[in-house]
Amino acid sequence: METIFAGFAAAFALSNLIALVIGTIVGIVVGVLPGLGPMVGMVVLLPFTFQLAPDVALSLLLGVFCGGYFGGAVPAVLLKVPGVPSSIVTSFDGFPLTERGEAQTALSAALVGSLGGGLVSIAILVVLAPLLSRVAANFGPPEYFAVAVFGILLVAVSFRERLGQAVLLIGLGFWLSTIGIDGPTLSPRFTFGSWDMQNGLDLVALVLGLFGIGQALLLLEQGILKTDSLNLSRSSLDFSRIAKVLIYWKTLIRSGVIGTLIGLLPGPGSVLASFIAYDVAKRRSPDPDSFGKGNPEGCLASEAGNNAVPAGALIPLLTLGIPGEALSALLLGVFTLNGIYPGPLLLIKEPVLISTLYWSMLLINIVAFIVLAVWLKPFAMIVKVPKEIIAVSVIAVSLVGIYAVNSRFFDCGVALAAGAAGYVLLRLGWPLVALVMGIVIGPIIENRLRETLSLGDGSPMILLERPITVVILALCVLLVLAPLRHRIMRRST
Amino acid sequence: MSDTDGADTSSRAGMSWAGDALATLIGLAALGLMVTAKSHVDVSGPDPFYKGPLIFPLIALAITAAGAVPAAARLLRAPRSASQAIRVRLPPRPLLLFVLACFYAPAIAVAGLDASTFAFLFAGLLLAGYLKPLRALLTAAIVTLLMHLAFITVLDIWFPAPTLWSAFGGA
Repeated sequence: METIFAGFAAAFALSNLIALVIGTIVGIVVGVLPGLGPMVGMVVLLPFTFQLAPDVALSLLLGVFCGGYFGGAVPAVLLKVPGVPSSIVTSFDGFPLTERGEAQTALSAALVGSLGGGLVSIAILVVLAPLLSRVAANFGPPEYFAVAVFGILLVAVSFRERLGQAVLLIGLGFWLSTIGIDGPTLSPRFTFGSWDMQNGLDLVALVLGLFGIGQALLLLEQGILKTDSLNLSRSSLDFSRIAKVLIYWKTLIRSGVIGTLIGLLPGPGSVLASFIAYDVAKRRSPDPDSFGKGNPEGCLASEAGNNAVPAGALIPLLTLGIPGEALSALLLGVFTLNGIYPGPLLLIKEPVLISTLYWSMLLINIVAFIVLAVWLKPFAMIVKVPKEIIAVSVIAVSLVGIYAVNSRFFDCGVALAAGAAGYVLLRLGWPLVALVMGIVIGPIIENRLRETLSLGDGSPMILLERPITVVILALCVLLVLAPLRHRIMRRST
Repeated sequence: MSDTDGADTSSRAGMSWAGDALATLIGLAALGLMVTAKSHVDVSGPDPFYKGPLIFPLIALAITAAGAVPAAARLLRAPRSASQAIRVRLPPRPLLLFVLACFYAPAIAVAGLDASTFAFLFAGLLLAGYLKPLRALLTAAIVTLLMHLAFITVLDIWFPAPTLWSAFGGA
């Protein structure tokens, strides 16, 4: 109990409060701006953390981490341009709601989802961290491989009407992820003699090209935004809409749990979390057909899923010293720079720091919600701007934002090529998300497959020798066979 | 059926044909890369195949090719004339803006972030159909200022020194 109070006092110290508020606002800003995202914000703020106490430094960076996910929902809902890659899923229902003049409902659902997902994941982090880390500690390459395969199968199956295109795009995404120098063998792959290609194709460049530039070009052609129908009478979030979306509290909790569990596993990350949370919500909804056409429950599920990832990703980082993704790898850097080495003993050696971290995470989620709820109008005003200004500005910000990540103009070229492809594929109605998921999950599947085969001396039968893997693979088989069985049953009746 | 309905149906059929044609092309490209993969991937290392750099790309390309099979089958079963594809040709404004965007990033290296952003935004707005030159000028100036504040003042992103101005300075 003493530790909890000590952490509470440290979290509410003025320096910590200032750091987390600044971090959260920076996070929201970089989350809202397409092409940036929390990574750029965290990297930029990293040099400032060297002069700070470890808890204050962590609050600053965690603010950017969480604030980025909050902010990413705003352009996804209003413009169908994801501020962060995982917000793609939020746009499925958020943008149709905006088109119908119900942007307030969509943003309420997204913000409540983000806050709820964050709070649920913190509760899980605090209560179940030791238990969950013990489970994750039992995972080896075969288990991670099976989980990643399960995730990608879920993506393919969710596009049943366009299964061929989804499979093609997943394969293409896998292949794109292999371009560049292969880490384990240092062999160049599909670089076609280009020096720049040896670094591979940057995920941010590909995603921003596909969705940012591609969508901006489509916006110019189709003029999707119906700005006149948007209710901008309020400068803040309409709290009566919040009450309406709270009827989906079960979805909120479920999505938060899903996001935390996915965040716990190194690799899959927020894109998969929001996608799975969305898909589960759709499957369990009494009206699944309304998903993708403007159902606030979809926004809520997606945002709860992706905003639960940061707390989930902290679990393996704090207890095992394994960063779940690039963002938590930066946090690991802050720990080690301050002479703190995350691992099983951290919870015993630094209980106050851990308690401060939990309180800070809680405060960050509340601050991010309040900041966006109160200053909603400046963000919502974006949709009042003519489509030409939006399209041209989105392309400019995306290209400069992509350059800002690695300071490489080559990435701008990649984004432009991806933008052209994205425009054509969006025009044809292909499921672009499958391509992004292929690019994100490809390296995880590849690395785990090679490690698994190495463990089995080249034999894949090792997958059937481990109980957890067998269960996950059985789920994969069920996932593929269930729709087939459903179709056969329907035909026979 | 009205003329509009007929045009919509024809356009949808054209889009579907174009989609199947694109999928088939990607599938064929994937097959081509599978066949020539050894010349694009350095497999000279000592690792056995299952640890090597080629196993996953081959799986990825096989998945891509497999995904294209239904589209190729549809295309073979119901071949349509190329005129179908002409109906789904790309409109000029996005094309013009895209071409302009291709010059934007190189222009940053030549003229710097501010000048190139201002020029891109102003020209882009006019090309995109925003035919109010004064407002376009003002908008370009405001967005350029905001981008300068965000990327240079706040985020402190490094941009290469513009070669154009140094050339003028040296002259």
